[in-house]
Amino acid sequence: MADAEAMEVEQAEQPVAKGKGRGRGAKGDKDGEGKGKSGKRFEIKKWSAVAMWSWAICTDTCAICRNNLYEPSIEYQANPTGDTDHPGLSIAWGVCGHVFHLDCIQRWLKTRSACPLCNKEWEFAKIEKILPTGTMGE
Amino acid sequence: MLLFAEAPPGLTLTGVLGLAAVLYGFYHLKAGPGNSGQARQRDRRQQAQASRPPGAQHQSESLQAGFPQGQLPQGTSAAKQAVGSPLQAQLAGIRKVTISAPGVLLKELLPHELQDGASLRPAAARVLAEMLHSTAVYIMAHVSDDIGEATVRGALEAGGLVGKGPGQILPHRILFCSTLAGKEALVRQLEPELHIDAHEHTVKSLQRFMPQLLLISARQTASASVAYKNVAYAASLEAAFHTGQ
Amino acid sequence: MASKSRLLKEARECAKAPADLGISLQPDERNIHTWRGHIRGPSGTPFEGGTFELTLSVPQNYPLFPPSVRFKTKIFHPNVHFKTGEICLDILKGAWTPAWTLLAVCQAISALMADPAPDSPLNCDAGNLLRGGDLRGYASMARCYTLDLASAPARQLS
Repeated sequence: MADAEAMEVEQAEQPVAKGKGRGRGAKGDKDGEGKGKSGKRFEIKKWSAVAMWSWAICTDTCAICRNNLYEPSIEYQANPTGDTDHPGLSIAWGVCGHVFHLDCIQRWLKTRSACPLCNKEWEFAKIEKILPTGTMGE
Repeated sequence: MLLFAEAPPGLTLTGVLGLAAVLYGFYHLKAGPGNSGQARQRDRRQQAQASRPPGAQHQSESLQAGFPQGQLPQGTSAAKQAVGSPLQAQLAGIRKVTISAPGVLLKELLPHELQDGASLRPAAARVLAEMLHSTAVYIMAHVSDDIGEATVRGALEAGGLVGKGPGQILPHRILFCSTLAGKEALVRQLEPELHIDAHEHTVKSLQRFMPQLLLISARQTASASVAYKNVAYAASLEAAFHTGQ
Repeated sequence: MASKSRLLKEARECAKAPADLGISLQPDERNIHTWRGHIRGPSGTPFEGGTFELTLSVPQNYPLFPPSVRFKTKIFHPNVHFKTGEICLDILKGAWTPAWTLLAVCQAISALMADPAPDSPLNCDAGNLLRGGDLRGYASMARCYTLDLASAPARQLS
């Protein structure tokens, strides 16, 4: 998931409330308030930010097979065919926002057409392929 | 006595209670003629049980579950009891008894009467203590509230009947309920071979579910409306069971 | 097989479950489709102080289909058959989804012990006591069985 590059930050203390903007502001400085009167003690030299985006995934696990959503489904892992169109290599969102491996949810829908997590009637909203080698996974 | 020439010889509960009725009638005839009417009434009812009423079907199934027909464990608790104790004979084949305390073990009958206190009947207490040696017993009482529960427990405890020793009942086997229908549910859940109660209404309601019931009623003759084949009658617990003392 | 992989994951999760959950659950050593659970009687209920054993049989097509769960320890409860231990719980039937796990099912059963549903009873006497408003009778009987059958050392009937 997140690349853990070391963050090189030198915090600059500054008065928070006044907003005069002396020195470069550092994100997340907790001690900024009331200490900046004597001038800059710290200066930001470098900032490497790490962020992650997703289509509103609240959890990273498929509730059906309990595998991580960034890796293939249990069914695919049991029989890896190498076929990139295998549904075990795709994840599917419902209109309710819940997401499962495509083969997992397809198998469930033969039993009942409701979302396993919220019981709303299931309708496919989006299907996406997982990266085949699972480099986004750990 | 001739009434029992045709009583079934096998040791079913029917036969045992028939035997009990014989003893009962015999003792009373010896004591005096006053109660013979009641004894004969009971004898006739026992005779009617020679054919299989619905209650008997259930009771023989429950007996067979533990004891093969004809091999009831009379005298198995001889170590704890005087051999040949009449009460033990009467309870042969009965593994579980439920007793509604008010009116049977206690003088008070109704929930509101128990608010002020509960008085244990000493003779009934002696019968209970002896029963506890050989049979699983559950006591229940219909009470109005916690006060009623406390007075009933207090009376039983004061009589030395509550505890882990022989002749005592474990505290959690004294059950309480706040409705009469609830009391029936307790008895149906426990499925005893014998239920003892002083309420005619309860006996009537339970009659078709239980193998045997005993109605304790101070009235000399039971009302005609409660004449069932699997219901026995007695004026008191000690009158129904002989402890050999 | 998919059910086996998932069950292995669940076994690992169960081993990590916190003790104050009051639930212990593990698969049979020789057969991962058979599990044994122990639920502590919820506090504040007549089952408090008792430990109730459950058997869980997991079907081959799990988690698409629910496990079959029954009480091995006898319990007086409107939604449990006193003699067979069968449990009347919607998630074990029509309301099952693969989002449930065996541990979550045990949690639901524990919740059911604390909050019975007397309108769909498998034990009519328990159901009738509750529907008749006789909580005293219900609690009295439930506690009696808890102490007789669900507490160590097992008490023998005299």
